[in-house]
Formats: sequence, C-alpha cells, structure tokens
Amino acid sequence: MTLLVVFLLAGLIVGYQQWLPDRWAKLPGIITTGGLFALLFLMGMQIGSSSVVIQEIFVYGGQAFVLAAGAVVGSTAAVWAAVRLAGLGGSGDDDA
Amino acid sequence: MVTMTLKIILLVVLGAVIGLALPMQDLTVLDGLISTALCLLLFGVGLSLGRDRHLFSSMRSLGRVVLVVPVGVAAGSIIGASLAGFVLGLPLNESAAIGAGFGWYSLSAVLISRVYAVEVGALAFLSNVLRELVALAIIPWIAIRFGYLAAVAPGGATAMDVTLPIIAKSTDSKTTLVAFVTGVLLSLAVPVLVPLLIGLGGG
Repeated sequence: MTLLVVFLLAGLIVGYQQWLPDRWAKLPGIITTGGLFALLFLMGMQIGSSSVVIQEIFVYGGQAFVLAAGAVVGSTAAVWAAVRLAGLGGSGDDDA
Repeated sequence: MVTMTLKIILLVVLGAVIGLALPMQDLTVLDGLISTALCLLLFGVGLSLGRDRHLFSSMRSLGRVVLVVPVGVAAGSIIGASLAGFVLGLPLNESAAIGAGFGWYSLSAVLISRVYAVEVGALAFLSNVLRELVALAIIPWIAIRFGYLAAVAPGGATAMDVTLPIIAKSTDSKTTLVAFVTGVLLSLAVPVLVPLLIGLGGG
C-alpha cells in the first residue's frame, strides 16, 4: 500500500513539475491504458490459477455474488442520493 | 464506455481461462507482476493528475465531497449487503461484516476467519473478490448513467488502487482525487468495522 502511494505521489510530482518533455505528452495515457489492460489480464490469470478461489466459486459462488451485488448497488445508490441531497453535483453528475 | 466494460470483462475472462488451462504453480510471480503493473498504473494516474493545472485550484472546492462520498459508500455497502444477506437467510452480523470488507478481500476474510468462523471468512473473501470484479466491469457505465461521484462507490476500498485507473479513465481529475481519498478512508475503516459488525452476533 505504501509503495502504491509512493508511485502515485511520484507521478503527481513529475506531472506537476512538468518534468515530462512535451513530446512525451501521450505517455500518461499509454501507461494507464496499457497498464490497465495488463492488470486486468493478470488478475484473471490469478483467479484462474488459484485452486482455492475456483473451489470456493462452486461452494459459495451464488451467495457471494448476491452479497457483492447488494454492496455494489447499495453503495452506488447511497452516494447517488447523498450527492443530490447535499447538493454536491458537479461535472458528470447530471442525470443521464 | 460500454465497449470499455466489454473489454474489461473479456480481458479478465481471457486471463482466467488461460490461468485455468495453464495454472501457475508459483502464484508469487503473478503477485509480483500485478504489483508492478499497479505501481506503473498509479504512476501514470499521478502523472495525469499532476499535469492538470485546474485540479489543484479546484481542490479547495472539494470540501464536503471528500466526507460525503466515503460515508455514503460505507453505509450503502453495509446496508446493501445486509439486505442481500436477509434475502439469502444469512445472520445480519455476517452479511453486514462481509459488506464492510469494501472489496478488500484479503483483510476482511482474515479478520472474520480469525474472530468468527472460517466458512464465513471464505464467503467474505469470495464476495469481496467478486465485488472488485463487478466494480471493474460496471464503473464506466455507472459514470455515464449515475454521475462521476457515484462511479467511485462500487470499488469501495479499492478506489485507491485497483479500480482507480478505471475511475480515472471514466471520470475526471477531481473525481479521481475524491476516489483516492475515499479508498484510503475506507481502507482505514475495514479493520475497525469488520470485527465490530461480526461481533454483534456474539460469535
């Protein structure tokens, strides 16, 4: 966790100080898109390779999914409602 | 953005199929690769945020947002999981504690296994793994349909690392910053809320 914060802060400093030459302006986009796709693929591989997760999916899969869906729907609805109640709209927070 | 959701699902499924067909004996190699990719990603997110001059001037206007969003995510996750648990016939303390894992599957599972029951710990583990995967898939859609701040919610504690790049891609710099702070605050809350909620059942 600490290492992740260090990398985020390092990126913030390099970006803010404009140490990145203009010709490398596309680098942040390339890093985030490429890194994201690599991360997703690797996470999939980790799940597929883990016999523990695969076994658990057969035993608890249905229950676990319903609980996960409950948490996702509940948290999204709560933030959506709280943002409106507190009048904290902003960019992208208009009704679709 | 729907194509983004499809790409995300396809990549995870492709990885899982390859992982199933050719399981890696040494998962520490994968852990190392995932950590490296995450560090690179967060460096890239930091670069994008740092280059956004407008962001730093708008930070002062964040105000209540950095409190309202984490509290909303925490309350919504616990209530949502509790309602889901009620439908499944699970005890309230178990489903509430699983919801309070906020996607941090390793810690929530260990906490529950240690102080309550190993089976419930396993359910917490899988449920929070699935929460992370569902979040990765639907964040782009949530951002469009329910607004940028709502897109911070599905990731829970992972909004500071694993789901942060998707949030950054689907929203704006200001929301990315709110997401990071939300993830940090929720990560700090997991070790407090999970034992507290699971303890309500008397174990």
